[in-house]
Amino acid sequence: MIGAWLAEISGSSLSTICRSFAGDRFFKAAAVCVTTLLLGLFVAVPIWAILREGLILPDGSWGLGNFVDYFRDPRFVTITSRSLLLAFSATVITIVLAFGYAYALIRTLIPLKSLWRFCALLPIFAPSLVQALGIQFLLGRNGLISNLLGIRIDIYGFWGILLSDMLYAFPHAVLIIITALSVADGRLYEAGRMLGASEFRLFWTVTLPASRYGIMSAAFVVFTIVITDFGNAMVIGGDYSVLATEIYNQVSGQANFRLGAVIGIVLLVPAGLAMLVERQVARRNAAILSERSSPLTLRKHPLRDACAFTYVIVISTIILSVAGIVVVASFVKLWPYNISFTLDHYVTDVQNGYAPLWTSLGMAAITALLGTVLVTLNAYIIEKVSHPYTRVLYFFSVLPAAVPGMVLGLGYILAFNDPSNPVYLLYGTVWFLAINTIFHYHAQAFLIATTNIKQISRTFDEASAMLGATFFRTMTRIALPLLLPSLLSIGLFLFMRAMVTLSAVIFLVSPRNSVAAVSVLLLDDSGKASQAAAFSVVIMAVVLIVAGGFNLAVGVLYARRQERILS
Amino acid sequence: MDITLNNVTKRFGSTVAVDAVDLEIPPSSLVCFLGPSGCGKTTLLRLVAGLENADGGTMSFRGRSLAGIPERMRNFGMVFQSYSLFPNLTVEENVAYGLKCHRWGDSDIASRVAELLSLVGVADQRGKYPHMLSGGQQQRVALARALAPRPHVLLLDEPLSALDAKVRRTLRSEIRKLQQELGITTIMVTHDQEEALTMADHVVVMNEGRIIQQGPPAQIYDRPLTPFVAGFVGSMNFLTAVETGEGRFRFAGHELVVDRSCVMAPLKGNAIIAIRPEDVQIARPGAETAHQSGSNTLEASVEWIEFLGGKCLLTLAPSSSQPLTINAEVPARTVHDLKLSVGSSISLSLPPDAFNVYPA
Ligand SMILES: Nc1ncnc2c1ncn2[C@@H]1O[C@H](COP(=O)(O)OP(=O)(O)O)[C@@H](O)[C@H]1O
Ligand SMILES: [Mg+2]
Repeated sequence: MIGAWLAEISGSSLSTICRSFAGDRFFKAAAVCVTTLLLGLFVAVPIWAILREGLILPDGSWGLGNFVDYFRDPRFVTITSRSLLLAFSATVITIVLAFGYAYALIRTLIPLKSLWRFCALLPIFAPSLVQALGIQFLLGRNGLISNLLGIRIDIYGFWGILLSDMLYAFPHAVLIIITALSVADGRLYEAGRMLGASEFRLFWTVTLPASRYGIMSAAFVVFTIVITDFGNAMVIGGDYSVLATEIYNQVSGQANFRLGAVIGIVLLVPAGLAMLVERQVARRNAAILSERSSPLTLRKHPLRDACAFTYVIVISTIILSVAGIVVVASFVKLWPYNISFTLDHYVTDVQNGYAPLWTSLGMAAITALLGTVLVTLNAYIIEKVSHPYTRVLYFFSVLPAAVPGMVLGLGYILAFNDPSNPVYLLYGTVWFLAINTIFHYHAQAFLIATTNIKQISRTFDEASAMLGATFFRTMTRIALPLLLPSLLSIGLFLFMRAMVTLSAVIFLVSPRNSVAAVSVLLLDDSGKASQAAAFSVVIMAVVLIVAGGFNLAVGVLYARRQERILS
Repeated sequence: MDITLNNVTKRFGSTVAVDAVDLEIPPSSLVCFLGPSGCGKTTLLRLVAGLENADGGTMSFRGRSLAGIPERMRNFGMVFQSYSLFPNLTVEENVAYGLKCHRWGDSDIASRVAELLSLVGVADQRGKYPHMLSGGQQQRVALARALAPRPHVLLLDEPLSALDAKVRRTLRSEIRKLQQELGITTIMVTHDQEEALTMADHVVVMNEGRIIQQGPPAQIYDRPLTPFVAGFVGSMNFLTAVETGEGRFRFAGHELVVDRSCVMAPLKGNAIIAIRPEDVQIARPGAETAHQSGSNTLEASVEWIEFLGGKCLLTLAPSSSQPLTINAEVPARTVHDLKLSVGSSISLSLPPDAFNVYPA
């Protein structure tokens, strides 16, 4: 794309330009311009639009007046403190539970580890609100447990949101802590044992200190996920409004964009701070991970392994039953009263039926393909062109991690729902949804790409340059082929996120172009919980099949290649 | 001169990696940068390659300044310490890579690649990927790749350090022969003094970013300019002494006579006297040693004998007013003839012309 454009304006063939010395610099400059344009347009402009909207007072002047009004209103103070309370509680409990789970997987000798790992990751394959849906089926008014025990549990509100957000954030926390626990320096444990330390003391003096950055990093990630989550709070919150749902209510319900933007900025502060600290912590974690160490060999310890096994079974059962109950409920006539089999709920009577699922698939495909290309080019240019200015680009590349989906979505409305803006041409199309999703998850994908680019040795670049290669040739002949496996995993990541995303796109869907997760929300909202369940099952099935098939294909295609590159 | 460096300096933050280096490299010669790890050899090589930008000074190649010429326009071949063969390309494709960059024709590329692969002796590996080769083979391919585009200069960064001792020996002579056949100006970085002495026309000894001494290998070995070079190249006994007169020194209660040509720098009373273990001579107690002069002869006892194959390294303790030891390297045969064992008494002598004397 960039190359063709370059060739066109200069009227000569691409390879000629890229071979010449001036061409090399021109290519870098052009690539930096394109990256700047994209990040500026789709990250900086929407965020600026939100800030502007929130900072402009009703009389047209600038100031913090809107925020003063906001915090004078006791209702909003309550909502803000609820969000914070929820996020803190969910973070503390989730981290403790996830640490135990990761510890059991990595540091004990329990059987069936890959099964348990899969169970922990299950919530990632579904839109967040599926957790709330499952909890509703278990503990809600017509829930299985409430019915069996004949008691009324009031799950709608704080406890419901807490539980479902914990379930949704759990896999993210487990993954990060697993990475931290996987690299242990066996020598420290041996030295400790030789000095007579008990296993308990080793845990406190070696294991915990070594994984502290991983734990902190996981905590900030969970905090951000919970405070910005929209789907669960929408489904199971009842009247218990939190910041994310309140933005939606203000914007969608009352068309109050200004108040929506103000709440958005209020939400941006804790989410942004958490991500800022997380980046710092993750960097230190990476430093620890890259240190040389000798691998840890696990020893048999029957009591420890028995406890770990029990614990893992209990947690997996909870996760599986929440997901499983959604599947079961989607196949029975009237949950939980008439449990005879039916496929009726798979005939969706929300408008457009399954059309949003196809839109989601198309959108996810575009997100994966276009996103992988954009993100990789951004990461490559930013990593390889060393100039103070590329630090600015780096900042905007990781900034989306700090911006809650609701805020980004609102920013896109404010910035682009304007016929005088050229981007308006895309507004409401599936391309627009895809672009929004790419930049919503830009930071995570960008960091994967950057890590992988760093891993392919810098001396390959130098060797290539010494042989007379241009920047362009080194990139296309050496770097990209070596990066191919990681490009595929970025593509899969973007595909999966795009299939289940709700919070940013909820503001951008149109009746003609809606997405799957929105259908689930609408179905549940109109009291058709079983149909919502059925739709969720279809989404989960698609994601699992694509992810599974993809892993299989990559496994077969790249097993030999990987070996070649890693050796 | 092929390469001329003038006052070249490179800093990384507060570390001065290369400190005001002046250097001239004659055409078709093999120059070794030798020094302990961290002394700035790699950095100096990378400055010549154009992979680093100097903070000060000038560099030129055959009289033309290298300033502003990027690495890829210099056509200097380089072999990296870790070889850095492209893992996604076959041996053949690796060697052809630089030729494609220099826009050679397809048939020229094919014949040049074949020529180089057989030159370095890996023609039978042409279709393989780098990970399928042994370390020595990878090194040969890296050499072929660097030489393919007929570079003006060949740069080698510790090319043999990752190989085992036997392969290292073979490749050492092969690289040297190849270099002489092609007549290519070559700079090689190494921390192995034996490698430098056996391969180079010209050795440049570095420490802490500076050039300490440069010259032909024999000169570096026989007349090290400073105690640092003396200790780094080969092994050396260092004795602290006081000058008592013209060519006369007092050391641990003994008088030493030293040839005037051995004094490397003006002295101010205290001196460090250096002598190589192989220059120390031994004989039965009371007997005259080979160089016969009665001076510089000390009575000593054998403290330790290290068997090195054809030779033995003796640790000797001369009778003296303070505890000290002198190492002597003698043929194993001598040890046998003299029936030496730990505790034996011998007489050792230090030839007056075998010293290097430095100010303390
Ligand atoms: N890229 C770099 N950044 C910071 N310091 C460096 C860098 N490269 C080398 N140095 C420092 O410069 C000094 C010389 O390094 P180097 O030239 O690699 O030494 P040698 O090759 O002789 O072992 C060392 O102190 C090293 O730590
Ligand atoms: Mg080095």
